Amino acid sequence: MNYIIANDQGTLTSLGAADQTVMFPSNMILGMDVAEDTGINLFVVSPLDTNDGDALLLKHANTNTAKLDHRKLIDECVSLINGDYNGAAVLFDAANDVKLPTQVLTGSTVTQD
Amino acid sequence: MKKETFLYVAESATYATGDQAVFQASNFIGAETPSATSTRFHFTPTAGASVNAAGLGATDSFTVTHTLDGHIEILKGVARAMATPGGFVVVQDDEGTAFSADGSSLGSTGFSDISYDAIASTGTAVKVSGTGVTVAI
Repeated sequence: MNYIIANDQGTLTSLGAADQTVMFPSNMILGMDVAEDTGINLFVVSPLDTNDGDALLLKHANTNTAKLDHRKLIDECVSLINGDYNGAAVLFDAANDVKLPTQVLTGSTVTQD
Repeated sequence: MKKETFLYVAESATYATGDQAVFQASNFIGAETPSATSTRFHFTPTAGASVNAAGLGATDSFTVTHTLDGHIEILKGVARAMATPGGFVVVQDDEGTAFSADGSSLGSTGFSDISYDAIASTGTAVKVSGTGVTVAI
């Protein structure tokens, strides 16, 4: 099983509250959708309410009409989720400037149920 | 048959009723960060309860109390343990006594099979705090 970590806090000392840092196994992913012109949502089962979902908003910079970065970001996300590693992979971590190639950290968020 | 990985936590120095538990890694639902010094891991409830007292989808959980801002290192450490195929991993045993194969005490304190990385941006060592772990089933 792969375990995915996401953190939307850019300052280390601000970690540790709701809507900031989560980890989930790849089999708890519910799906993705296009949230807006410059972002996609990744939905996972919420550990705080298993009848509901948490949403990870991954932003990108593309504003062209073809919305090509939607698909690029989805592909990068799936590639990381299905990656060949032992343990955890970081989807994005604003405190350590870790992100997907097409992603921008500004505005990328974790929203817990 | 695929072997399972089991995570053991024991929260008290007296092993009181309800203070020890084993969680199956394949039942892991997710983890979140309730405070600046704690990280909570949620699993499918053993009692099969579908909702909790608040009317929300229920989980069993354990909460690790740790070095300030060490959440991501704690997450990575426990994830490595859960990804180990088959076996028994002591996440935290606040009783603090490790036992050898013949049952005799090895006498160490605050026992854990997991070693955590230092915080990436500061180099601060991450360890489980004195209060260690709490179990909620």
